[in-house]
Amino acid sequence: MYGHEITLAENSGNAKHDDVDISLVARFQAGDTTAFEDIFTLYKDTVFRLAFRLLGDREEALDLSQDVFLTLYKELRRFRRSSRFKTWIYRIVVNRALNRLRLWKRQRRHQTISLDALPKYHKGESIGASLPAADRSPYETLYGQDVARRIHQALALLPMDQRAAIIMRDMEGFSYEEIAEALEINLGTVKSRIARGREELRRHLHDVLRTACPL
Amino acid sequence: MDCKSIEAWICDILDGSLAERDARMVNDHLATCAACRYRIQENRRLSDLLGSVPSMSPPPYFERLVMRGIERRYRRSWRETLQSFYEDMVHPLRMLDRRDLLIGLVSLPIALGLFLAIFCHIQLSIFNSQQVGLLTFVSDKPLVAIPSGEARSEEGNDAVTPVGISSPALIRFVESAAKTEAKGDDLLVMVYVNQYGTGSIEQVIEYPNDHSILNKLNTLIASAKFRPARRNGKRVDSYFLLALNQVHVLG
Repeated sequence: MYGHEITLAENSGNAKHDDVDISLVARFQAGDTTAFEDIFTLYKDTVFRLAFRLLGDREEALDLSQDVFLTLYKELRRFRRSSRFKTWIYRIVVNRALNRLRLWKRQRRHQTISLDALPKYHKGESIGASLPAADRSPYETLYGQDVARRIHQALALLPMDQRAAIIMRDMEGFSYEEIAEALEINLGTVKSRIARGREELRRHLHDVLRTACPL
Repeated sequence: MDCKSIEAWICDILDGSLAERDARMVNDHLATCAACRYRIQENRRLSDLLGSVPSMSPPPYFERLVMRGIERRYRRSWRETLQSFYEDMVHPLRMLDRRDLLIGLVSLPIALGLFLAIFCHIQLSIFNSQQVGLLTFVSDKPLVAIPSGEARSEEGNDAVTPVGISSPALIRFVESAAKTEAKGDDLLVMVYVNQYGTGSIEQVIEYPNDHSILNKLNTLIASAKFRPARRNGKRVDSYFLLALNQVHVLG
Protein backbone atom coordinates (compact mmCIF):
# COMPACT_ATOMS: atom_id res chain seq x y z
CA MET A 1 0.00 0.00 0.00
CA TYR A 2 0.91 3.64 -0.33
CA GLY A 3 0.48 4.75 3.25
CA HIS A 4 4.24 4.83 3.76
CA GLU A 5 4.96 6.38 0.38
CA ILE A 6 2.42 9.13 0.97
CA THR A 7 4.45 10.46 3.85
CA LEU A 8 7.58 10.27 1.73
CA ALA A 9 5.82 12.02 -1.10
CA GLU A 10 4.60 14.81 1.10
CA ASN A 11 7.98 15.29 2.60
CA SER A 12 9.87 15.32 -0.64
CA GLY A 13 7.73 17.83 -2.45
CA ASN A 14 5.27 18.17 -5.23
CA ALA A 15 7.30 16.39 -7.91
CA LYS A 16 7.37 13.17 -5.94
CA HIS A 17 3.69 13.57 -5.15
CA ASP A 18 2.89 13.99 -8.83
CA ASP A 19 4.87 10.83 -9.64
CA VAL A 20 2.78 8.87 -7.17
CA ASP A 21 -0.36 10.31 -8.73
CA ILE A 22 0.78 9.38 -12.23
CA SER A 23 1.61 5.83 -11.24
CA LEU A 24 -1.71 5.39 -9.42
CA VAL A 25 -3.70 6.76 -12.33
CA ALA A 26 -1.76 4.55 -14.75
CA ARG A 27 -2.47 1.50 -12.60
CA PHE A 28 -6.14 2.32 -12.48
CA GLN A 29 -6.36 2.99 -16.19
CA ALA A 30 -4.66 -0.36 -16.80
CA GLY A 31 -7.54 -2.02 -14.99
CA ASP A 32 -6.19 -2.27 -11.44
CA THR A 33 -9.17 -0.97 -9.48
CA THR A 34 -7.32 -1.35 -6.17
CA ALA A 35 -5.32 1.71 -7.21
CA PHE A 36 -8.43 3.69 -6.52
CA GLU A 37 -8.25 2.74 -2.86
CA ASP A 38 -4.77 4.23 -2.72
CA ILE A 39 -5.97 7.37 -4.46
CA PHE A 40 -8.77 7.57 -1.94
CA THR A 41 -6.37 7.17 0.98
CA LEU A 42 -4.16 9.86 -0.47
CA TYR A 43 -6.85 12.46 -1.07
CA LYS A 44 -9.75 11.77 1.28
CA ASP A 45 -8.59 14.25 3.95
CA THR A 46 -7.86 17.09 1.55
CA VAL A 47 -11.08 16.60 -0.38
CA PHE A 48 -13.18 16.49 2.76
CA ARG A 49 -11.39 19.45 4.37
CA LEU A 50 -11.72 21.57 1.26
CA ALA A 51 -15.39 20.68 0.91
CA PHE A 52 -15.94 21.44 4.58
CA ARG A 53 -14.19 24.80 4.42
CA LEU A 54 -16.11 25.80 1.30
CA LEU A 55 -19.53 24.67 2.50
CA GLY A 56 -19.19 25.16 6.26
CA ASP A 57 -21.38 22.13 6.96
CA ARG A 58 -20.11 18.71 7.92
CA GLU A 59 -22.91 16.63 6.46
CA GLU A 60 -22.93 18.57 3.21
CA ALA A 61 -19.16 18.22 3.01
CA LEU A 62 -19.44 14.48 3.52
CA ASP A 63 -22.06 14.21 0.84
CA LEU A 64 -20.06 16.32 -1.58
CA SER A 65 -16.86 14.37 -0.90
CA GLN A 66 -18.61 11.11 -1.61
CA ASP A 67 -20.00 12.59 -4.79
CA VAL A 68 -16.51 13.72 -5.81
CA PHE A 69 -14.98 10.27 -5.34
CA LEU A 70 -17.79 8.58 -7.23
CA THR A 71 -17.26 11.02 -10.09
CA LEU A 72 -13.54 10.40 -9.89
CA TYR A 73 -14.02 6.65 -10.18
CA LYS A 74 -16.21 7.10 -13.22
CA GLU A 75 -14.10 9.71 -14.98
CA LEU A 76 -10.62 8.50 -14.08
CA ARG A 77 -10.30 6.30 -17.16
CA ARG A 78 -10.77 9.39 -19.30
CA PHE A 79 -8.21 11.49 -17.40
CA ARG A 80 -5.62 12.56 -20.01
CA ARG A 81 -3.00 14.26 -17.81
CA SER A 82 -3.44 17.62 -19.50
CA SER A 83 -3.51 19.01 -15.97
CA ARG A 84 -2.05 17.71 -12.74
CA PHE A 85 -4.11 14.99 -11.17
CA LYS A 86 -4.48 16.67 -7.80
CA THR A 87 -5.59 19.99 -9.28
CA TRP A 88 -8.07 18.05 -11.38
CA ILE A 89 -9.55 16.63 -8.17
CA TYR A 90 -9.56 20.04 -6.49
CA ARG A 91 -11.32 21.47 -9.53
CA ILE A 92 -14.06 18.87 -9.19
CA VAL A 93 -14.43 19.69 -5.48
CA VAL A 94 -14.52 23.44 -6.02
CA ASN A 95 -16.92 23.28 -8.95
CA ARG A 96 -19.30 21.00 -7.09
CA ALA A 97 -19.11 23.14 -3.97
CA LEU A 98 -19.70 26.34 -5.91
CA ASN A 99 -22.70 24.77 -7.62
CA ARG A 100 -24.15 23.88 -4.26
CA LEU A 101 -23.47 27.32 -2.86
CA ARG A 102 -25.16 28.91 -5.86
CA LEU A 103 -28.13 26.64 -5.37
CA TRP A 104 -28.35 27.56 -1.70
CA LYS A 105 -28.06 31.22 -2.56
CA ARG A 106 -30.95 30.95 -4.99
CA GLN A 107 -33.04 29.05 -2.48
CA ARG A 108 -32.31 31.47 0.34
CA ARG A 109 -32.48 34.66 -1.66
CA HIS A 110 -35.54 35.84 0.18
CA GLN A 111 -34.40 34.80 3.61
CA THR A 112 -32.66 37.10 6.04
CA ILE A 113 -29.58 35.48 7.56
CA SER A 114 -28.53 36.75 10.93
CA LEU A 115 -24.86 37.45 11.42
CA ASP A 116 -25.14 35.46 14.62
CA ALA A 117 -26.26 32.41 12.72
CA LEU A 118 -23.58 29.81 13.24
CA PRO A 119 -22.49 27.55 10.47
CA LYS A 120 -23.28 24.05 11.71
CA TYR A 121 -20.26 21.83 11.97
CA HIS A 122 -21.26 18.78 13.89
CA LYS A 123 -24.44 18.25 15.82
CA GLY A 124 -24.98 21.98 16.01
CA GLU A 125 -21.58 22.75 17.49
CA SER A 126 -19.32 25.42 16.12
CA ILE A 127 -16.00 24.50 14.61
CA GLY A 128 -14.33 25.84 17.74
CA ALA A 129 -15.73 22.88 19.61
CA SER A 130 -13.44 20.66 17.60
CA LEU A 131 -10.33 22.43 18.81
CA PRO A 132 -8.00 20.31 20.89
CA ALA A 133 -8.87 21.30 24.43
CA ALA A 134 -6.30 19.33 26.41
CA ASP A 135 -3.62 22.01 26.33
CA ARG A 136 -6.00 24.94 26.51
CA SER A 137 -7.61 26.79 29.34
CA PRO A 138 -11.42 27.16 29.25
CA TYR A 139 -10.88 30.80 28.31
CA GLU A 140 -8.62 29.87 25.40
CA THR A 141 -11.09 27.26 24.22
CA LEU A 142 -13.97 29.72 24.30
CA TYR A 143 -11.81 32.37 22.68
CA GLY A 144 -10.77 29.95 19.92
CA GLN A 145 -14.38 29.00 19.28
CA ASP A 146 -15.41 32.60 19.03
CA VAL A 147 -12.60 33.54 16.65
CA ALA A 148 -13.21 30.51 14.42
CA ARG A 149 -16.89 31.40 14.32
CA ARG A 150 -16.14 34.98 13.37
CA ILE A 151 -13.76 33.85 10.63
CA HIS A 152 -16.30 31.53 9.10
CA GLN A 153 -18.97 34.19 9.25
CA ALA A 154 -16.65 36.64 7.52
CA LEU A 155 -15.69 34.06 4.88
CA ALA A 156 -19.34 33.42 4.17
CA LEU A 157 -19.75 37.10 3.32
CA LEU A 158 -17.12 36.96 0.57
CA PRO A 159 -17.99 36.41 -3.08
CA MET A 160 -17.62 32.73 -3.90
CA ASP A 161 -14.62 33.11 -6.21
CA GLN A 162 -12.64 35.04 -3.58
CA ARG A 163 -13.69 32.67 -0.82
CA ALA A 164 -12.50 29.62 -2.77
CA ALA A 165 -9.14 31.24 -3.56
CA ILE A 166 -8.53 32.35 0.06
CA ILE A 167 -9.51 29.01 1.52
CA MET A 168 -7.23 27.17 -0.88
CA ARG A 169 -4.32 29.50 -0.27
CA ASP A 170 -4.47 30.54 3.38
CA MET A 171 -6.30 27.65 4.97
CA GLU A 172 -5.23 24.68 2.85
CA GLY A 173 -1.83 25.97 1.79
CA PHE A 174 -2.15 25.39 -1.96
CA SER A 175 0.32 27.07 -4.26
CA TYR A 176 -0.87 29.81 -6.59
CA GLU A 177 -0.28 27.52 -9.54
CA GLU A 178 -2.44 24.82 -8.03
CA ILE A 179 -5.20 27.31 -7.34
CA ALA A 180 -4.96 28.70 -10.87
CA GLU A 181 -5.25 25.21 -12.35
CA ALA A 182 -8.07 24.17 -10.07
CA LEU A 183 -10.10 27.31 -10.67
CA GLU A 184 -9.07 27.49 -14.33
CA ILE A 185 -7.92 31.09 -14.10
CA ASN A 186 -4.53 32.70 -14.58
CA LEU A 187 -2.02 33.45 -11.84
CA GLY A 188 -2.70 37.17 -11.84
CA THR A 189 -6.40 36.61 -11.29
CA VAL A 190 -5.66 34.23 -8.43
CA LYS A 191 -3.50 36.81 -6.70
CA SER A 192 -5.96 39.64 -7.23
CA ARG A 193 -8.85 37.53 -5.93
CA ILE A 194 -6.83 36.64 -2.85
CA ALA A 195 -5.76 40.24 -2.30
CA ARG A 196 -9.30 41.56 -2.65
CA GLY A 197 -10.66 38.80 -0.46
CA ARG A 198 -8.11 39.51 2.25
CA GLU A 199 -8.97 43.21 2.17
CA GLU A 200 -12.63 42.37 2.59
CA LEU A 201 -11.85 39.94 5.41
CA ARG A 202 -9.65 42.51 7.08
CA ARG A 203 -12.59 44.88 7.15
CA HIS A 204 -14.92 42.28 8.69
CA LEU A 205 -12.34 40.97 11.16
CA HIS A 206 -10.76 44.27 12.12
CA ASP A 207 -11.33 43.87 15.85
CA VAL A 208 -10.34 40.20 15.83
CA LEU A 209 -7.06 40.93 14.07
CA ARG A 210 -6.08 43.49 16.68
CA THR A 211 -6.27 40.96 19.48
CA ALA A 212 -6.09 37.54 17.92
CA CYS A 213 -3.15 35.24 17.96
CA PRO A 214 -3.08 32.09 15.84
CA LEU A 215 -5.56 29.53 17.17
CA MET B 1 6.37 53.13 -6.05
CA ASP B 2 3.01 54.13 -4.58
CA CYS B 3 0.37 52.55 -2.32
CA LYS B 4 -1.56 51.12 -5.30
CA SER B 5 1.47 49.13 -6.41
CA ILE B 6 1.88 47.77 -2.91
CA GLU B 7 -1.76 46.66 -3.04
CA ALA B 8 -1.19 44.91 -6.37
CA TRP B 9 1.95 43.12 -5.14
CA ILE B 10 0.74 42.28 -1.70
CA CYS B 11 0.64 38.50 -2.29
CA ASP B 12 4.22 38.49 -3.53
CA ILE B 13 5.31 40.75 -0.69
CA LEU B 14 3.80 38.40 1.90
CA ASP B 15 5.31 35.36 0.20
CA GLY B 16 8.69 37.07 -0.13
CA SER B 17 8.73 36.16 -3.79
CA LEU B 18 9.56 39.59 -5.20
CA ALA B 19 12.56 40.09 -7.41
CA GLU B 20 15.43 41.82 -5.66
CA ARG B 21 14.92 45.09 -7.47
CA ASP B 22 11.18 45.14 -6.75
CA ALA B 23 11.76 44.21 -3.12
CA ARG B 24 14.10 47.15 -2.73
CA MET B 25 11.48 49.51 -4.17
CA VAL B 26 8.83 48.10 -1.86
CA ASN B 27 11.06 48.48 1.15
CA ASP B 28 11.78 52.06 0.20
CA HIS B 29 8.08 52.77 0.06
CA LEU B 30 7.30 50.98 3.31
CA ALA B 31 9.97 52.93 5.08
CA THR B 32 7.96 56.08 4.44
CA CYS B 33 4.33 54.81 4.42
CA ALA B 34 2.85 53.74 7.74
CA ALA B 35 -0.52 52.84 6.17
CA CYS B 36 1.08 50.29 3.83
CA ARG B 37 3.18 48.86 6.65
CA TYR B 38 0.03 48.44 8.69
CA ARG B 39 -1.80 46.85 5.77
CA ILE B 40 0.97 44.31 5.21
CA GLN B 41 1.15 43.54 8.91
CA GLU B 42 -2.59 42.93 9.09
CA ASN B 43 -2.57 40.83 5.93
CA ARG B 44 0.18 38.69 7.37
CA ARG B 45 -1.68 38.34 10.65
CA LEU B 46 -4.88 37.47 8.80
CA SER B 47 -3.09 34.87 6.71
CA ASP B 48 -1.57 33.29 9.83
CA LEU B 49 -4.90 33.33 11.60
CA LEU B 50 -6.71 31.68 8.68
CA GLY B 51 -4.03 29.04 8.48
CA SER B 52 -4.47 28.19 12.14
CA VAL B 53 -8.23 27.57 11.98
CA PRO B 54 -8.62 23.84 12.55
CA SER B 55 -10.65 21.71 10.22
CA MET B 56 -12.10 18.26 10.52
CA SER B 57 -11.09 14.87 9.32
CA PRO B 58 -13.68 12.76 7.57
CA PRO B 59 -15.44 10.29 9.88
CA PRO B 60 -14.07 6.73 10.06
CA TYR B 61 -17.00 5.34 8.10
CA PHE B 62 -16.29 7.65 5.15
CA GLU B 63 -14.19 5.08 3.30
CA ARG B 64 -16.89 2.43 3.65
CA LEU B 65 -19.47 4.93 2.42
CA VAL B 66 -17.52 5.76 -0.72
CA MET B 67 -16.44 2.20 -1.53
CA ARG B 68 -19.97 0.93 -1.08
CA GLY B 69 -21.25 3.68 -3.35
CA ILE B 70 -18.74 2.60 -5.98
CA GLU B 71 -19.62 -1.06 -5.53
CA ARG B 72 -23.28 -0.31 -5.98
CA ARG B 73 -22.92 2.03 -8.90
CA TYR B 74 -20.04 0.76 -10.99
CA ARG B 75 -18.49 -2.50 -9.99
CA ARG B 76 -21.28 -5.01 -9.80
CA SER B 77 -21.42 -7.95 -12.14
CA TRP B 78 -24.79 -9.45 -13.06
CA ARG B 79 -24.21 -12.20 -10.56
CA GLU B 80 -23.52 -9.73 -7.78
CA THR B 81 -26.57 -7.68 -8.74
CA LEU B 82 -28.78 -10.76 -8.60
CA GLN B 83 -27.24 -11.82 -5.32
CA SER B 84 -27.84 -8.40 -3.86
CA PHE B 85 -31.42 -8.42 -5.13
CA TYR B 86 -31.95 -11.83 -3.52
CA GLU B 87 -30.47 -10.58 -0.26
CA ASP B 88 -32.67 -7.49 -0.35
CA MET B 89 -35.70 -9.71 -0.82
CA VAL B 90 -34.76 -12.30 1.78
CA HIS B 91 -33.34 -9.91 4.34
CA PRO B 92 -36.74 -8.59 5.54
CA LEU B 93 -37.81 -12.20 6.16
CA ARG B 94 -34.67 -12.77 8.21
CA MET B 95 -35.59 -9.79 10.30
CA LEU B 96 -38.94 -11.35 11.27
CA ASP B 97 -39.03 -13.31 14.51
CA ARG B 98 -40.27 -16.88 14.60
CA ARG B 99 -43.75 -15.91 15.75
CA ASP B 100 -44.29 -13.60 12.78
CA LEU B 101 -42.94 -16.24 10.46
CA LEU B 102 -45.30 -18.85 11.91
CA ILE B 103 -48.28 -16.53 11.53
CA GLY B 104 -47.27 -15.92 7.95
CA LEU B 105 -46.86 -19.62 7.19
CA VAL B 106 -50.26 -20.46 8.70
CA SER B 107 -52.16 -17.55 7.22
CA LEU B 108 -50.86 -18.11 3.71
CA PRO B 109 -52.59 -21.49 3.17
CA ILE B 110 -55.73 -20.13 4.85
CA ALA B 111 -55.82 -17.20 2.47
CA LEU B 112 -55.17 -19.55 -0.43
CA GLY B 113 -57.93 -21.89 0.76
CA LEU B 114 -60.38 -19.02 1.08
CA PHE B 115 -59.56 -17.86 -2.39
CA LEU B 116 -60.08 -21.36 -3.78
CA ALA B 117 -63.36 -21.77 -1.89
CA ILE B 118 -64.75 -18.53 -3.28
CA PHE B 119 -63.57 -19.45 -6.74
CA CYS B 120 -65.10 -22.94 -6.52
CA HIS B 121 -68.34 -21.53 -5.14
CA ILE B 122 -68.70 -19.35 -8.20
CA GLN B 123 -67.91 -22.24 -10.47
CA LEU B 124 -70.31 -24.54 -8.64
CA SER B 125 -73.12 -22.04 -8.77
CA ILE B 126 -72.66 -21.85 -12.50
CA PHE B 127 -72.69 -25.58 -12.76
CA ASN B 128 -75.66 -25.93 -10.44
CA SER B 129 -77.70 -23.47 -12.42
CA GLN B 130 -79.03 -26.38 -14.40
CA GLN B 131 -80.73 -27.66 -11.30
CA VAL B 132 -82.10 -24.66 -9.54
CA GLY B 133 -85.21 -23.87 -11.44
CA LEU B 134 -84.06 -23.13 -14.92
CA LEU B 135 -84.62 -24.85 -18.14
CA THR B 136 -81.28 -24.53 -19.74
CA PHE B 137 -81.17 -26.59 -22.85
CA VAL B 138 -79.12 -25.61 -25.76
CA SER B 139 -79.60 -26.48 -29.39
CA ASP B 140 -78.52 -24.99 -32.67
CA LYS B 141 -82.17 -25.13 -33.82
CA PRO B 142 -85.00 -23.10 -32.29
CA LEU B 143 -86.45 -24.88 -29.26
CA VAL B 144 -90.05 -25.57 -28.46
CA ALA B 145 -91.29 -25.74 -24.91
CA ILE B 146 -93.66 -28.60 -24.33
CA PRO B 147 -96.22 -28.65 -21.50
CA SER B 148 -94.16 -30.98 -19.31
CA GLY B 149 -91.58 -28.24 -19.01
CA GLU B 150 -89.10 -29.96 -21.24
CA ALA B 151 -87.54 -28.45 -24.28
CA ARG B 152 -87.46 -29.98 -27.66
CA SER B 153 -85.81 -28.98 -30.87
CA GLU B 154 -87.26 -29.50 -34.26
CA GLU B 155 -85.01 -32.54 -34.55
CA GLY B 156 -86.28 -34.00 -31.32
CA ASN B 157 -84.88 -34.27 -27.79
CA ASP B 158 -81.67 -36.00 -28.86
CA ALA B 159 -80.47 -32.77 -30.41
CA VAL B 160 -80.90 -30.85 -27.16
CA THR B 161 -78.03 -30.57 -24.71
CA PRO B 162 -78.23 -29.20 -21.17
CA VAL B 163 -75.89 -26.33 -20.52
CA GLY B 164 -75.01 -24.01 -17.67
CA ILE B 165 -75.37 -20.28 -17.87
CA SER B 166 -72.02 -18.65 -17.51
CA SER B 167 -73.26 -15.42 -16.03
CA PRO B 168 -73.46 -15.34 -12.21
CA ALA B 169 -75.45 -12.08 -12.28
CA LEU B 170 -78.08 -13.63 -14.53
CA ILE B 171 -78.24 -16.77 -12.42
CA ARG B 172 -78.64 -14.78 -9.22
CA PHE B 173 -81.42 -12.72 -10.73
CA VAL B 174 -83.34 -15.65 -12.08
CA GLU B 175 -82.95 -17.56 -8.81
CA SER B 176 -84.21 -14.68 -6.71
CA ALA B 177 -87.00 -13.90 -9.13
CA ALA B 178 -88.04 -17.54 -9.07
CA LYS B 179 -88.20 -17.53 -5.29
CA THR B 180 -90.05 -14.30 -4.72
CA GLU B 181 -91.86 -12.98 -7.72
CA ALA B 182 -92.79 -15.59 -10.23
CA LYS B 183 -95.46 -18.21 -9.91
CA GLY B 184 -95.36 -21.41 -11.93
CA ASP B 185 -94.20 -20.90 -15.48
CA ASP B 186 -94.61 -17.19 -15.12
CA LEU B 187 -91.67 -16.54 -17.35
CA LEU B 188 -90.52 -18.73 -20.16
CA VAL B 189 -88.30 -17.22 -22.81
CA MET B 190 -86.26 -18.57 -25.64
CA VAL B 191 -82.79 -17.04 -25.72
CA TYR B 192 -80.78 -16.81 -28.89
CA VAL B 193 -76.98 -17.04 -28.47
CA ASN B 194 -74.79 -16.32 -31.45
CA GLN B 195 -71.49 -18.07 -32.09
CA TYR B 196 -69.62 -15.26 -30.35
CA GLY B 197 -71.50 -15.83 -27.07
CA THR B 198 -73.79 -12.78 -27.20
CA GLY B 199 -77.38 -13.49 -26.18
CA SER B 200 -80.77 -11.88 -26.70
CA ILE B 201 -84.38 -12.87 -26.02
CA GLU B 202 -85.65 -14.52 -29.17
CA GLN B 203 -89.15 -15.27 -28.05
CA VAL B 204 -91.27 -14.74 -24.95
CA ILE B 205 -93.29 -17.87 -24.44
CA GLU B 206 -94.82 -17.21 -21.03
CA TYR B 207 -95.41 -13.69 -19.87
CA PRO B 208 -94.83 -12.67 -16.24
CA ASN B 209 -97.27 -10.43 -14.38
CA ASP B 210 -94.48 -8.11 -13.50
CA HIS B 211 -93.03 -6.61 -16.64
CA SER B 212 -90.01 -5.23 -14.79
CA ILE B 213 -88.77 -8.81 -14.36
CA LEU B 214 -88.79 -9.31 -18.10
CA ASN B 215 -87.06 -5.98 -18.68
CA LYS B 216 -84.40 -6.74 -16.11
CA LEU B 217 -83.89 -10.20 -17.58
CA ASN B 218 -83.55 -8.70 -21.04
CA THR B 219 -80.84 -6.32 -19.81
CA LEU B 220 -78.96 -9.08 -18.03
CA ILE B 221 -79.04 -11.38 -21.04
CA ALA B 222 -77.82 -8.61 -23.28
CA SER B 223 -74.87 -7.89 -20.98
CA ALA B 224 -74.03 -11.54 -20.17
CA LYS B 225 -71.50 -13.63 -21.98
CA PHE B 226 -72.64 -17.14 -22.96
CA ARG B 227 -70.76 -20.20 -23.91
CA PRO B 228 -71.71 -20.81 -27.54
CA ALA B 229 -72.75 -24.29 -28.55
CA ARG B 230 -70.42 -26.37 -30.67
CA ARG B 231 -71.21 -28.77 -33.42
CA ASN B 232 -68.45 -30.89 -34.93
CA GLY B 233 -65.94 -28.75 -33.01
CA LYS B 234 -67.16 -25.50 -34.54
CA ARG B 235 -69.04 -22.79 -32.78
CA VAL B 236 -72.63 -22.44 -33.94
CA ASP B 237 -75.55 -20.16 -33.16
CA SER B 238 -77.84 -21.75 -30.60
CA TYR B 239 -80.98 -21.35 -28.55
CA PHE B 240 -81.93 -22.14 -25.01
CA LEU B 241 -85.07 -22.02 -23.02
CA LEU B 242 -85.05 -20.19 -19.78
CA ALA B 243 -87.92 -20.59 -17.35
CA LEU B 244 -88.60 -19.37 -13.86
CA ASN B 245 -89.60 -21.64 -11.02
CA GLN B 246 -89.03 -24.85 -12.88
CA VAL B 247 -86.85 -27.73 -11.95
CA HIS B 248 -86.18 -29.85 -14.93
CA VAL B 249 -83.03 -31.67 -15.47
CA LEU B 250 -82.68 -33.39 -18.71
CA GLY B 251 -81.83 -37.04 -18.46
